[in-house]
Amino acid sequence: MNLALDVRHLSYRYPDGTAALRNVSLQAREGERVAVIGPNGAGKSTLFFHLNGTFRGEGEIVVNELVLTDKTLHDIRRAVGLVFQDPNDQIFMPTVFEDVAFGPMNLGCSELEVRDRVVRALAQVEMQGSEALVPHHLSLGQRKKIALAGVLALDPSILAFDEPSSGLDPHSRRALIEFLKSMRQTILVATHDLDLVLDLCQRAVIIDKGEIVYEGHVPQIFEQEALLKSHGLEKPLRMQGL
Amino acid sequence: MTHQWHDAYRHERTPAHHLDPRSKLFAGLAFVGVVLFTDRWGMLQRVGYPALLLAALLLARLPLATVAKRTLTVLPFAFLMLFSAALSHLSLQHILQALAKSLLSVIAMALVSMTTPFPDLLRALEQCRTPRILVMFLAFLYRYAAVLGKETVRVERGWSSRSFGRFWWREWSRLGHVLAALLIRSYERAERVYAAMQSRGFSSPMPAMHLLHFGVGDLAFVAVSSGLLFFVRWGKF
Repeated sequence: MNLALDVRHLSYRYPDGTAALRNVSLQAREGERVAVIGPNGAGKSTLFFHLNGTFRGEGEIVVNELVLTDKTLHDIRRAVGLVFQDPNDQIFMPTVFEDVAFGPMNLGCSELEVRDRVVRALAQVEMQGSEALVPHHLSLGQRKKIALAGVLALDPSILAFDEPSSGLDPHSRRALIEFLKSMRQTILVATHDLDLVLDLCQRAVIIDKGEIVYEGHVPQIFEQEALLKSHGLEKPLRMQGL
Repeated sequence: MTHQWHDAYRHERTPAHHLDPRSKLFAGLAFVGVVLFTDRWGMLQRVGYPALLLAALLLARLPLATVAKRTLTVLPFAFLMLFSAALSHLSLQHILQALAKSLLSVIAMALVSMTTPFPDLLRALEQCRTPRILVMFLAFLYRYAAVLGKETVRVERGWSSRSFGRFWWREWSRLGHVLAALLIRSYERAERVYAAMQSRGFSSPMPAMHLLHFGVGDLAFVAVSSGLLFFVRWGKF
């Protein structure tokens, strides 16, 4: 399978001088599901913001054989869908319809196509008929679905989720895992929920202090307790035999 | 805490709720404009203006008490007006007239806002060529007022859980810290929201879609309301 994403020697410093990413290299093949795990402040979210050019560091990012530059930014944003941890950051329009339609409208789609994409995206996340609702009347789980629909409406080939299961009840979390498993896109997940990684991902990379310190297959990576512990992680609960 | 109070009554199914927001906005603003520029108040105006509002109220099937509560927002301004009028050379009749104008205007706009979902009002403003930046500002205000409200409640709960019965007004100096924390959180959220907009292809200007439909019923409403308003203002009784 071809590489869907190739991050090469990426480094980034915040304006205050803090080094957030140091020489990060990461690959994901088409249709692969990769977890990015690490302690708080490790640089997971910062890395994800680079994937579609929201942040621009040193190094190279290649998406579907397209190198990220100013010229390719539009195409890369179309290809990489970011789903934020807090849906309140992502749902900024006054109604569900307008929010899900935001991306397709920026792509320059016709009104007919925008409507079609909105209907399809809402159906995918099982939120049909919610078009006229206003976001502050929705539950957290519903808002997460709408945030995902907003990204799916762009029809991206890569989906990057930042802490997708945070704040979800067990039922919604399970539904999310099953939903993600059913997707054909390349999926990257930044999370602390290692049980989700165990269920969903084929591969995981450990990032700490802005550096990728280990990369391995799931579940083998979780056998290395000392490694996990040294980077603020622990075995998934299901593997602890509790 | 819920934040649905500002959306109450907006989703009822009455003839007034079904009208295109542009027709309601036009009728409301026309009413306010005509009332404000009525300089002489005869019997027709004194009875006619409130009667028009009462008819609209019945058409929208809104509870009188709720509309009355909304009009209370005019009170601080009314008191200020009375105070400044008392210091000027205005007669009692002028003061009462000004008070009546402000009350009628507030009731008219309350009726418009209570029969129209806020997003529809925004669309109406947008399609009436209100500057885009202003519409965007109102849209973000509407969307994030609830989010900020919830954060304020969380901060207040954190405050109360550790204040051991001390009242906030005794510790007013620390309120500055709370407000600063809320400001910084809002600023950080604004940065994340902008990042979210960019990641979905936002450049500028903000894209817009035509989601409203101005039908025959709206045309009839505008014609009838304008006619009645014209009659009350300039008619002979």
